[in-house]
Amino acid sequence: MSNIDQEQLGEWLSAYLDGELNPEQRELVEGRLREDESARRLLDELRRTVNLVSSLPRHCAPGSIAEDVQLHVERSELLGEPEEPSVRSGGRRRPVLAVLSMAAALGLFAVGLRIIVTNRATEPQMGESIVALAPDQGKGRHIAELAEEEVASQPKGGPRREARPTKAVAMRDTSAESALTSDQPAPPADRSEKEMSLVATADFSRKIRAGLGTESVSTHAFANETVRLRVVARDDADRDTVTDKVVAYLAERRAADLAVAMTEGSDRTALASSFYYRGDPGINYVEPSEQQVLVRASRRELEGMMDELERYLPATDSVALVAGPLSIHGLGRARTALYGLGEPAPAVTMGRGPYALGDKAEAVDGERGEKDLTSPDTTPARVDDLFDDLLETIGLDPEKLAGLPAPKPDVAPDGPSTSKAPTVAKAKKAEAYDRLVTPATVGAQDASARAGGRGGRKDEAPALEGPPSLVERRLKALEDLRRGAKRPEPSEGPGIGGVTAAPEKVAAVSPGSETVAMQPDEPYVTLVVQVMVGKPEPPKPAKAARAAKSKTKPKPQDEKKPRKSRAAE
Amino acid sequence: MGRAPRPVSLEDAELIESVKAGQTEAYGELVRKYQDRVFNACWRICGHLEDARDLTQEAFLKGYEGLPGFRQESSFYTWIFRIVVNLALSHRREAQRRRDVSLEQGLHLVGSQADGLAKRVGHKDGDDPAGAASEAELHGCVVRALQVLDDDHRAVIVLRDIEGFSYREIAEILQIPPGTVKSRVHRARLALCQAIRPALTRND
Repeated sequence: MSNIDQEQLGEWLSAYLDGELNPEQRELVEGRLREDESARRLLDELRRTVNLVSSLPRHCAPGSIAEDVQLHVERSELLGEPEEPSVRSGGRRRPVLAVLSMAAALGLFAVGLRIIVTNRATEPQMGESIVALAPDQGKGRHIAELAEEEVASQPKGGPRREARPTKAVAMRDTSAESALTSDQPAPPADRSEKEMSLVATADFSRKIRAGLGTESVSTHAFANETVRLRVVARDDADRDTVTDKVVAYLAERRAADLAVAMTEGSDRTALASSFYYRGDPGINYVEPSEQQVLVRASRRELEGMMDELERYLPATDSVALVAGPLSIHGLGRARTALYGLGEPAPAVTMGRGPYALGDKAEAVDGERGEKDLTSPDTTPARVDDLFDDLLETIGLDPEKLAGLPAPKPDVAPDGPSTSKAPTVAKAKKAEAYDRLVTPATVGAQDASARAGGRGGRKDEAPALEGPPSLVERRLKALEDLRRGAKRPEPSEGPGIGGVTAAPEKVAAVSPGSETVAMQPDEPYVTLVVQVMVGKPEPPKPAKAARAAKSKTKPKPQDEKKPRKSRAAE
Repeated sequence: MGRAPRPVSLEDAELIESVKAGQTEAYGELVRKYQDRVFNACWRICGHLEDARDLTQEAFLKGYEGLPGFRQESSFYTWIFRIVVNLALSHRREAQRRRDVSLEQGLHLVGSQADGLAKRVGHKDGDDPAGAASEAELHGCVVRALQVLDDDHRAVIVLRDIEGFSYREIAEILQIPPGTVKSRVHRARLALCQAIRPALTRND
């Protein structure tokens, strides 16, 4: 034992701590410890490290996991899982997973659409709080209807519902609820895989639409939906400023009973925020260095806010806006869109976050060859159409965005583009970005700018004089928010559709519609504005270069290293 | 030396048989039983809570899919954990490829393996303000160090020091020899030691 080298000794000490030595080895180690102070110090240090690691905080798994897994499992049973999927499919795809993935994915879009579908056939003006959830025709049609049509394979219609909600005020789609009970998917026995997929889609979408309270659906996840707006800033300072601007926006424009939480990620724990809205807890997770502003509101309110926020935070080369439905605890796969980022063309692809500045989303699990969401059986063309709908309805149509005017009226865009290439000169984009990150006093956003329809962006925002800390400013903004101190009058500018608010009710006026009241138990939507720092990704090396790089990446050589000392031992 | 792999507990075996017999709710029981451990392991391996939630769910779905082939020669947890680790590491690699490019830039390990690892995990040593480090700071230091450990080393640390698996179980999960487990555990700990030593010293 005395000849043992330091590394060997260390291994044995670690194993000694873990009770992984046999009696003989343990005796040798203990002997060494008695005579070697440095060994004792190392053991003590190792022990302290182990204790620290093992005492790291733990979290309970989100309660919905078991429910969601159960739901998926039950659905797969319901659909009839093929006994030998890999053989039957004749390839690497696994039909069951494909079905589930597709169902989740399409359901996800359905959720997104349900949240934010607006009828862009008539371009809403700023401040209009719009909304037709499922217009009779055109791009706003609900995904479930499309899926059902195909499933039914009944050109003459099957029982197409006549009564469709025409306003977002239809928070609870009762017609869909009846569809859920009266139009259960047929037994899968004689159906092809494609048909089963479509059944799953229709079923899933129907449940989501109806959802909101049915026993077989994870109601919390589906009834109260989440959308996100992700902003990727250049550095910490920019991120802080952007967050300030979001808070300022909310402080000015929110309804009184919106629940707003703002938080910062920390190195130590990513658990971000926990807050209550009408007695319902909300939790979100934040990455280190990320900040989030969470808002809960009725769909109507949120639709208006999303619309405004996207204008409020300009799309430039340096700020990525990623809008899309968050994971609904399904397979955790959201289709999102990235814009700008200095890429030659906006990326509109499938993937899952997080994304860094410069990223393009890539196929989920591409490395593992499980591109289930883009499987031919999922009718990708239709999915693409639907996703385009989603983009368009939330105002993030790639072409629109590429041609988006610079945020300041006097900065002329290069003109609308029919291609997806950015059309705004880089210098102008940089200028726009600089404006975005110009420090602005919370609550001092320019009303006249708002009147100009661009949500309070103010070029001349004064630099802060002896500025209070970010935390102080944010606390003040949130305090203002709670007091409703800066609520704009409906006539003041393009607020959220002239929203007026009361502690228990939120009234919204949709253009051309009557005033409706949001009931206390009405489902809400959570908007998560994620503000994070991203770094431009260097040009991606060629595959071979990447491979070479990975080879040079230091790897432990413990398996390969000759163990002379051990042999000697 | 070393604990033998845990056999499938009677309760788990019954649940698994029930699942195989078509009682899907039994699988929900299995999920509820192990989801916290799986979730935390995913979190510590991939470093992101939200992803951990998705990975946990995906792991259990894959587990369900593979259950017919599970021969119950090891514990259900060990078996599901093999799926978990593969998923989490795969996810991590993908995420790193996207966002952690800077981490690898300029990284040239020299000297011993442990020194190299320590350089990676210890890059923020100087960031802490003077003064005694609280336990929370130490935890933060450990978390940072964990996240920049090489994937293989982080996995063994999570399995051993957070999840309490024996070396044999870890070997089974990662499908590497037990001797390799032993060396990886030690190298990872040594790297962590070196990374948190300044904070520990201040805390003394």
